[in-house]
Amino acid sequence: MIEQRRGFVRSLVLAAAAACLPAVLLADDKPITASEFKKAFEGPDSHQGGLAIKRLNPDQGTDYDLLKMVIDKGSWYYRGIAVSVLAKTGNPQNVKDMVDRLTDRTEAKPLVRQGMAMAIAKMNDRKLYPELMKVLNDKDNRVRRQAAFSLRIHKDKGSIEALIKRWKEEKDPRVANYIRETLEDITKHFKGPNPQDWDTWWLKVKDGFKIAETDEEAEAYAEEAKQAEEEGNKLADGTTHAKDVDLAFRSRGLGTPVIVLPHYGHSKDVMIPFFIEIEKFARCSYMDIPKIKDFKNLAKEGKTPYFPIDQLVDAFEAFRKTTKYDRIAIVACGLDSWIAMRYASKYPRNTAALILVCPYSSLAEVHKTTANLVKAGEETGDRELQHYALTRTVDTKTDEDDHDKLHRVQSIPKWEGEDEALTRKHYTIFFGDQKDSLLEQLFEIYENHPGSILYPEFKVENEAANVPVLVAYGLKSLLSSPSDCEAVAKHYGAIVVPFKESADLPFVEEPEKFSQSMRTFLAKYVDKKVKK
Amino acid sequence: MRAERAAGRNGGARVAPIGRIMLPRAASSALAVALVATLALADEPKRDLKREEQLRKDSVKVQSEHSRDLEPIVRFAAEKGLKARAADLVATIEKITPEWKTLDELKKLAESCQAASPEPADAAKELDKKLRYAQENYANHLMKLARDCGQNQLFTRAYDLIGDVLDAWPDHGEARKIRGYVRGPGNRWVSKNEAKLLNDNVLYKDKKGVVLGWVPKKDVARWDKGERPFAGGWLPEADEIEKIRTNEYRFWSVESEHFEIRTHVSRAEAWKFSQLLEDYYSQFFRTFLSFFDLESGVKLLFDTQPLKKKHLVYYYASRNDYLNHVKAEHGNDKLLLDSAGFYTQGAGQCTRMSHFYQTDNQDEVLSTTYHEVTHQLFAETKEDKSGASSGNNWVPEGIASYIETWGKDPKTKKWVPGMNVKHERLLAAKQHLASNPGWSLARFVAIDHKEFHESARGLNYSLSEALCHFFMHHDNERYKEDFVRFIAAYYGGKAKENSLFSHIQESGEAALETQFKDYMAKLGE
Repeated sequence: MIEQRRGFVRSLVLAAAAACLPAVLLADDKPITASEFKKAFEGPDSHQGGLAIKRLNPDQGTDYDLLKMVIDKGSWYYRGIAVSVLAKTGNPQNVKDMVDRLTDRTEAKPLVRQGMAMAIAKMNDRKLYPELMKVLNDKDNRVRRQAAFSLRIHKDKGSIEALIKRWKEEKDPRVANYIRETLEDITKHFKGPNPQDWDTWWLKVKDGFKIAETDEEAEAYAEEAKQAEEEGNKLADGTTHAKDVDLAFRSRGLGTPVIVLPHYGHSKDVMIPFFIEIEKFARCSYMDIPKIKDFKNLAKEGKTPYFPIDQLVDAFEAFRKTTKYDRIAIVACGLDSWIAMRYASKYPRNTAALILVCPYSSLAEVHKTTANLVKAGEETGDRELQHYALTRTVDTKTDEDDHDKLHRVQSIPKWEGEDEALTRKHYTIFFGDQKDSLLEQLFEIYENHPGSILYPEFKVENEAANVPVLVAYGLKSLLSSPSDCEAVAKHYGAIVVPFKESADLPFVEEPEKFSQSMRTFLAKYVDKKVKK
Repeated sequence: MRAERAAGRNGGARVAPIGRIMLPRAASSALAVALVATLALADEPKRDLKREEQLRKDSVKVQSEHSRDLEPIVRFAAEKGLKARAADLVATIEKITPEWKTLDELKKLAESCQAASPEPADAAKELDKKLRYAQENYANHLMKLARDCGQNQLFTRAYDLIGDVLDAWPDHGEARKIRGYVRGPGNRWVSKNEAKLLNDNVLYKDKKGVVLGWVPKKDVARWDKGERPFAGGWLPEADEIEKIRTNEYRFWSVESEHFEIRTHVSRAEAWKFSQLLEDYYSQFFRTFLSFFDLESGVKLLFDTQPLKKKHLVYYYASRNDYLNHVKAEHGNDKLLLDSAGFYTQGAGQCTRMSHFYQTDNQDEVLSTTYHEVTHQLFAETKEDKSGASSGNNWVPEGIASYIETWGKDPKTKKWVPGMNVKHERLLAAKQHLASNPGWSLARFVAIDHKEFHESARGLNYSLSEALCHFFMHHDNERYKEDFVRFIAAYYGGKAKENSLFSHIQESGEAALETQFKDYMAKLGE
């Protein structure tokens, strides 16, 4: 009987299922009312906020004003979307308004000027490029930096001279870095960190110079690239093999050898643009932590291995030997600073110095950080922060983290776009200024996750304090605390450098101060002692 | 024990799981509720091999009966000088029963008969009547078979049979409805999507008859004058083209039932592409039905309700435009620069889109398109947790590459999965396996994303494609269903380096490796 009923119902349904005709929804195309927009933009769900921005019509007056508001007040994520929407406008009045807002005569807010520069660059209208080049002289370094980056996208010969001219006057190392990278990208030449060298070269070649449109043309400059590499002007790639793992690195610069380690899960690519000033006095070797699964016989709890600090220490020692330097300095961030501290304990004679960025003194402090993040999310109504923080703690028996547990126990379905939102939140909290377009640029390259690990037991008090140490931390950090960083500094008798405007990436957000601090520190404690 | 963990989302890899395309809740209609309830009565699909075999025999019987009914009609057509009709009917018999005992005789009869000129109208009418009767009879039998297959959860087979019903009798109402058609203007069968669009739109063709996509009826007069919509107003077409092509963030957007194509090539190209992808779409679900849970799979296959969000595809006018996009929006990622296209996942604003670019080689473009859209359909029709799987990078790349071996039967114009056994990657894999007898299947399937793309990337693509071809076609599709379920496990985050061997349970690791090598040695011979 049951089989017959099933068969009957199925055939009925098969015959009639197609009769349903709900409306097709095209979220991006549907106009949005001001109140709908406000609710989404001001709400806790960044996915919905992003969708709301995409529904704005850049050709229409009120929507255009809302887009400008987003560029002024929104997060980096919202601003990026607003810029892409603005870039679509075909309304000549709006285009004129955007061009007018490139200068501080008409637009007082630097983030709006920055956003307009991004949008105009995306339009790829060659007639507007001269306006964009003028933005290189904006008084705000974030705007100048963005102009330098934007000119990289659609190669234009006219940009080259403007970039070199600006570079000669540029005091902000971050902007200078960007100008240099854009010149290298447009021209496929590598003339080094000195703008005068570029200027000399350009004067010689500019009349006949042709921008390489294809890789094949760029290959023609390969010889020069190799020479530039040898002179320390271009990044050199290398790999060492130690203890079953490969350590890949990129090196550049001349001077004290320094291993540069990003935060765990971050790519070395997020460090490189901001260490160019440091490369003037240090040979920086930027490294990613190798994939955790490549390590053998790691201690585990449940399915997740512990952070292999000792194995990484040995891998770095193997690297040091390849450099033939008797000592190296290590710059290490966050959790990765435990590797640096352990290295100094085990190989004090081979450690020139440690530069610890937002270090933790112990596992207990990491627990505290997680609890604080959850609380901060709850108190501020930042649901994404709260949910991200919950992902940091896991039940090793079941491999279920507190976030998945919350959803399961409270029967809350995951909202659309939640996982992407938490990824963005995890990334964003590394920054003090969470609006700058820099975050959008770095977002595509910042991550290089070696794999899930558990934080092991660690206490800085157990590590030998016998090397020069500098501790840098950002006062806007949610992931580390000044008191804990000071505790680490106290253990080492370290120089302490707090950064007022930064969170956990002071070399990104206050690069001039960071590189100056490092230069002074290395000059005082290290340079004379390091020999090859 | 509770511990602090540093994890990328989804277990350490930066693959943000895609927010699932929310299939409309079944409760929106009584009939859909019935479908869900019905399917819910069945627990995990249990294969009844005896019943499947019986249904196969019943299919053969129905086909034979139809050929038997067609044979006298062939003779009638030949006798009356309706030569072309006779030949068509013989071709039909050959298609459904290639071993028909009098096939050769009927072929000779159709070839040798004299074509009457003019065609006798009465005879033609009589033939139509006879044929109609035979076709309706056949279609009804097929429909019953389709229902039987549905009852036994052989939904792919049911889907195919309904296609056969429509081949036999294009006007079969029930079959049309199940396949998502309704009556449109002029009593023509149209898809539900088209029916809705036809209320207020026309499928616009330019003066040369090239389709440009759907245009609101109220705007047709403007389009006829050579104007095109732009920035809330209208521009002459040439101006519009110039403005669109300079700016990546403006684009022509052409929508079909399941896809939105964004491009700077042209509207016509976008429409053409959308139709190619629609044609691929149902074949994809037909082939990979077991990837989905039963309810989702049936809904997708039978397209019971439209998608809430269409699959987004970006088609660049040139490689240079593509590279500029990678630089502007994807950090100049080297892997993407070295690729012919990609599908984006992740948490940035450019997410859940396929990207590829126009070249002079249209076959290559199509190949890349199908490849990337395969990634897209797997990722967007079910929650993607592949980041929690380990190793097995051959699965996503292999299955997308395997799609490139699909071809169209020259006679029926229908998709034939795995048809192109001389595909360059299959040949490359074949050669590699022949020259490297020590190649290890277990070692290969354990390779993760990094190793796959950083070391012998081209070869890895070839071997992955070959492995998928093997699992999909070896020994009359023996491993196909288990393999598709393994793909589901991979995308569900449950595959580990050696999980394949526990999914393909009939044969152990060593036996599978041997079978694969033998299969490749003989493939295309």
